[in-house]
Amino acid sequence: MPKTYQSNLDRVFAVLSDPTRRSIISRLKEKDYTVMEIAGHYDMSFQAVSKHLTLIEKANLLHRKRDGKHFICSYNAGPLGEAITWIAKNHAFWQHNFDALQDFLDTQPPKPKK
Amino acid sequence: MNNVYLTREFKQPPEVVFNALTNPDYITRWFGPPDMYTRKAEVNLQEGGKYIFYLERDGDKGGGFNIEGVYREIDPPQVLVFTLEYVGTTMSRLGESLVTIRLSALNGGGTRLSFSQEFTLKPANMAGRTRAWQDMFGRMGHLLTL
Repeated sequence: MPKTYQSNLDRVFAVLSDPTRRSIISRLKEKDYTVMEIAGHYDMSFQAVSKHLTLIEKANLLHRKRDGKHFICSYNAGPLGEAITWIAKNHAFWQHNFDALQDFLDTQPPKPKK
Repeated sequence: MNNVYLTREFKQPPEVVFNALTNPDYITRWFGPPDMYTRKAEVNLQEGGKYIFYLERDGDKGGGFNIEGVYREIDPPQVLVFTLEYVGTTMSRLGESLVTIRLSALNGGGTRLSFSQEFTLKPANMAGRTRAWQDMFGRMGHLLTL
């Protein structure tokens, strides 16, 4: 049991490590969307968006249900609880920090000091 | 399970990266989560020395928090180990953590940075409890010496 939980956490972090997936999740937190609607928001192929959705679904952060000929996606925070929010927030915090460090270093002159 | 492990590569040499990680004038220019910035950084860069980063929201949205801790191991430009605590945010509940940063030189002048943050020290509520016990023993010790 703890092992399954651990590996799902890994999947959650894998989901959160990508800006497109983070953006999809923020959308789904607001309201449900069909797969087509989500795909319409991103400048990439339907297949690429669908791949992202599958990863989010595998991490159990998304439920997909059929409604006529559409699939409706809804956000699911359930099994993760509040703790994961802090943990995920912390993870995103460091990802962002090192992005910012990279940007900062790239704006520095090659030899800042002796 | 709430530990963080990251690896990054930078074009700059370890000395430059190490400086950006420890020099308060540099830290304020990059450190902080999205929508926030580091208003001030106080750094006592020696083993046992304390640091405090004061983080604030962009604009006048108000609200901020501190990141603080103590340097445990400093070996420039390869090793930086410090404790880290979030003070005044929901993330404070994660408790105290130990951050280990290792820098290694890459062929071609760049740096590989490996980062780990391990929440092995004590959970936040334990920290409060420990402080309570310390206070109590302090008072007790004081009474006994009267």
